[in-house]
Amino acid sequence: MGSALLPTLRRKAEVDATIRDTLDKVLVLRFGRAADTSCLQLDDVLAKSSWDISKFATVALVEMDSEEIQVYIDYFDITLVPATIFFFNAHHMKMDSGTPDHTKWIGSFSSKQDFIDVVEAIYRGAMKGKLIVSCPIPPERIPRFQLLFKDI
Amino acid sequence: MPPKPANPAPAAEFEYCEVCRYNHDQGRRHRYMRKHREELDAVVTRFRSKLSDLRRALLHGAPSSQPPRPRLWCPFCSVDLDSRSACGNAIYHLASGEHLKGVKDFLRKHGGAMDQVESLRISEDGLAKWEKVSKSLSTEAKKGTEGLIGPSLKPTKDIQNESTCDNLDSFSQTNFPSLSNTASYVVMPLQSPTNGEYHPISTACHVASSLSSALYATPCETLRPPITPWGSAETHKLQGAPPTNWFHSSGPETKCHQSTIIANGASPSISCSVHVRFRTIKIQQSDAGGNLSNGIGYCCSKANVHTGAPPPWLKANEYDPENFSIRSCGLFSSRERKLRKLNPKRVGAAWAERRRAEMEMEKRGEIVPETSDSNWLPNFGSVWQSGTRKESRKEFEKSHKLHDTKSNHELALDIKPYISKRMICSFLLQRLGVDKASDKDGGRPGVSAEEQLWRGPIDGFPCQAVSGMQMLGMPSKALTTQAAVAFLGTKH
Repeated sequence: MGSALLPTLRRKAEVDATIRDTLDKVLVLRFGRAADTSCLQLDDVLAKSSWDISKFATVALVEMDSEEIQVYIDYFDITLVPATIFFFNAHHMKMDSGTPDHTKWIGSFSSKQDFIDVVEAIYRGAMKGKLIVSCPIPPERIPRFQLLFKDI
Repeated sequence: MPPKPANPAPAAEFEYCEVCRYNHDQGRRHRYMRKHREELDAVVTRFRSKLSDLRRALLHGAPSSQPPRPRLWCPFCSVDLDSRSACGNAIYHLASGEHLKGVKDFLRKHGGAMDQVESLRISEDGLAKWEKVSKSLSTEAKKGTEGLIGPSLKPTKDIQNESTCDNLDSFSQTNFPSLSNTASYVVMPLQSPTNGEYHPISTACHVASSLSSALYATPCETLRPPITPWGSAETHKLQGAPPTNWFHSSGPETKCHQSTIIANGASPSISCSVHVRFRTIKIQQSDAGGNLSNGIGYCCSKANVHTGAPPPWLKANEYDPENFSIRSCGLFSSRERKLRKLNPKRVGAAWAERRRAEMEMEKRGEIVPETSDSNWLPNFGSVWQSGTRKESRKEFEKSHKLHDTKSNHELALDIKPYISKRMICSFLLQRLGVDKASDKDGGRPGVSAEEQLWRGPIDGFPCQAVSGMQMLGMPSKALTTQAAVAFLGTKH
């Protein structure tokens, strides 16, 4: 349901344009498949809170099965879905949430407020010139995962 | 031994600096202090801006009843010019020798440049010009405002008296003499104190003045310009039609409304633009006849809200470049203010500025938006990032290219069924039905048919095979050995 309310990007050019043209706002890109159950929950949270954060953030969904998106899937090294990546002025924003991967948020958010907190923390950090922020959510609400490293 | 010169007083006397507004003991050094100089600059520029306003009013010959500034403090002479109750006195002061002396003293005392004295006072020429204009205007205004009630001298700003000039009475009496075209001798109310010397007005004069009075007094809708709402005016503009501007059309009623704006004391920009027209009107009227300047003064005082004149803000239908620029400036400044609030050290600030400028230009159509840049990637810090994020992107691009070429290579090497040349040969021979015997006739001497077959044009490929493939629809350009083999393999 959430995927119907949010803009869904299926081409690389669309993703490029969204990243480039979102100025002085946090861009939240959700990589995943709209049909996945884990994605459904995340999409719901994103869609419900997109209005609340619309003054300082923009939310967009990326359909990761599209042919053209595979470059980004490789580049962002997305293996677990859903993966949420944050940008500010076309700069990638990292978040230290105690998980092995700082570059993206893996999994869903437990509530709307958690998502808003995360985006707000990123916005505040970015406005202070920080490229990495620490996660404002308590660790018990952060989804855990393990990275399996290939080619090492 | 001569006595040593006495040291300067250990504690110098305190002195009040009226520019910096504090007491100091720095003596003459004080005037060279940075703060003092800044303050002095501020004082002088503030006064200069007030003076320029006054000059503008002076140039346009504003009546002395409308001071351009509510207050004017002369910092050089320490005089509040407003307390003298009239703008005229302020102008006289600023042109006086007393003020000149004050300015010079002030600048000498506080260390200002003496070449700016002229810019801080009003010259005699300006004063004379203003006197001339204001005199003529004030006589007209007086004649207009001092109505039937008598020759009592009232303040010219008294709006109530202006509005109660018994116009309605005069309207009922005049009964549109000009419209009925009967230039009869209708008794007109006195427009100015005549001190008992009332001469019957000449016919032409009478018609004109009564017409003007009728125009101002009448509640009749036919004579009054309809008050166009904003929307309709805008649509007229959009359609490219000439603006329905009542102030441009010729005729007595428009003239009167123009002067309304002056009388109501509109904003400087408007009054400025109108004033030129006012002069032209004056010329026209004086051409018409002797006493008609009275009519102007009358109009000036009469057209207001009670007589149904359009309000001055409807004047904005007209394209006013100054207003427009102010509005755009306002927009710009609000946007600027918004941008200024953002931290200049935020992430990607420079990029955002550049991109915003690009987007603006794209919107205006000055540059074509980049749509073909398919290789663009944002900066991304990977998990195992070392160095800047740009480096990780470059690494990715490099590896991506390698990966691409590798995959292409793999694709190319994908189809490799081994087919011996002999097999091809026999296949083609069978297919084309080549007879070995016939080869003997047309073939080269001393070379067997099979050998001749093997000396093909490309990589020793059989000639027959080439022609055979051309027959099958394969272009000869693409005839590398490998491709041919692949082709054959698939066809087979």
